[in-house]
Amino acid sequence: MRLLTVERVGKRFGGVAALNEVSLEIETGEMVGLMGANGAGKTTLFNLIACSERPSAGAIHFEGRRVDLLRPDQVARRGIARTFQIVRPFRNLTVGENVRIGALFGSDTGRPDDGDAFAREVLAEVGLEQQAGIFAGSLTLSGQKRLEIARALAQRPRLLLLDEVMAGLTPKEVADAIAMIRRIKTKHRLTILLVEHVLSAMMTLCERIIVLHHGRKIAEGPPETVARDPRVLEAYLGRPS
Amino acid sequence: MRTSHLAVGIGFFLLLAAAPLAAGSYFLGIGFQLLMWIALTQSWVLLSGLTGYVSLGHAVFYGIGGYVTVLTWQALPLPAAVVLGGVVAALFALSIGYPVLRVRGPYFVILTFGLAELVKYTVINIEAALGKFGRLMLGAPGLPALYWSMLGLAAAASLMVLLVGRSRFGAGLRAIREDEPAAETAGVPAARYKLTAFALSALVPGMVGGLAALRSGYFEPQQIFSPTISFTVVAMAMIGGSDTVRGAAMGAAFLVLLSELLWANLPELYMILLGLMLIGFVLFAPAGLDGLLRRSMPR
Repeated sequence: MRLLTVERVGKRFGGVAALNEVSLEIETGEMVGLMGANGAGKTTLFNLIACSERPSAGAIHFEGRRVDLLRPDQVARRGIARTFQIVRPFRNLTVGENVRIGALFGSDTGRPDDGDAFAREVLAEVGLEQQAGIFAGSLTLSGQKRLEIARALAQRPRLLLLDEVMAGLTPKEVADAIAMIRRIKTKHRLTILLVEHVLSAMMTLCERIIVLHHGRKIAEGPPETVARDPRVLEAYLGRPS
Repeated sequence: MRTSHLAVGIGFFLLLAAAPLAAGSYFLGIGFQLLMWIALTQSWVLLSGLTGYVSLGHAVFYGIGGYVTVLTWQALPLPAAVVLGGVVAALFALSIGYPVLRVRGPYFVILTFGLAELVKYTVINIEAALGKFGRLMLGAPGLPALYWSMLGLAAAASLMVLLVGRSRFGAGLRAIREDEPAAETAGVPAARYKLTAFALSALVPGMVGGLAALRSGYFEPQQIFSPTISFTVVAMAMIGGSDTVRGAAMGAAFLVLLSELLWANLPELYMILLGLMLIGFVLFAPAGLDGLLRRSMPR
């Protein structure tokens, strides 16, 4: 079943086109990767899907309903959750309270009666159950990235957008993160769209990869095909002389 | 807050409720002041403590309430007039809230201050145009009745902060304080929540203003809309500390007692001490008296 449809979406900032006629579709249950150099428009696309920004052209449909004109809290209620590339925990609240807020708000469906118990469960899934009582601001970077995921999970989304959750992690932490993402995807029956600079992680995790370059989609397909696509190689490495 | 704290709070208000039976009018007057500042500071905490939108214009709600009470003097029964003052203040907050709450940080502080001054001078001009230079309210109720009413408002404001703090609504407000865009992304309807908090935090001050006008028996816009009221509320919340019911009550009590002790003999010293204390608390104890208390009593 079609979960998300992005239809010829464009975003201009003044005279600069950050995204240009980008279209893509995501089926329920997929794990799709979004790839591209810095400034390719990945985070802008995330912002549009999560309604943090409005597209200048095109439309976005989620579960058959148009969402791009909604506010961020409305699209969260419809069942889309995201993490931020630069983490944004509620620093002066405890780790548990951060996740509890995701549980109390988030998606309209399946809101738990006991936010605290639900938060504890979700924290255990990302391995933060021991840290529930400390302030979110005092977690390590790796911990804060996990907290972002936990808060998003507590929102009970059907589509989860992960924005570079592995950037800045050690190889060991990356391996753990990959295993964790697989685990939560199965357990919560999620559909995931992820942006990652750690290419090996993306290649391992995703069934399908979409490549953006200067705000346009230049390739799409299974990881092994995309990795050999001449347009992708050119975009990443330059034209062979 | 644990049950023992709740018991202390209830005991505190019961003790104050019994005061008119024993205390003379001097002490009852101080009690009235104390309760008034508790009610105002709690109301301020409901907005500014929880959402981080620091209002420097809460005098406007207090003034509006006083003005409503004086305008309806002898036209409405007093309890109705006082309640109406609160409702009008809350409606005023609702009507200006949408544009005002779109700005954050120092801009919000300055905007609330400016709005309060704007309303003050508007009322001054209306009064001047009507040829009124101060209005007397002869035959206002005596101190014990006003005291008990104020006690009710202080208790109501405290209870409101307590209940909101524990609710889903309160969790959303704290999320807004920490990071508003992230809160919205998590599903917190920030605009609606801020507006609700703003209106709730205006409701009690509106009623308090009515009682305060009745207590002085005199209405003069410069006085009742005075920015000093807004400043004092912020100072009490800062010295009391953090976003708790207990902090706001302690800050109000501390400054009311200090001013009573010093005002009579050393008024200049009071302002100097207040300034020094504010600097000291901001630098060394940003969580206020409540924070100091929590640090000195580890669980």
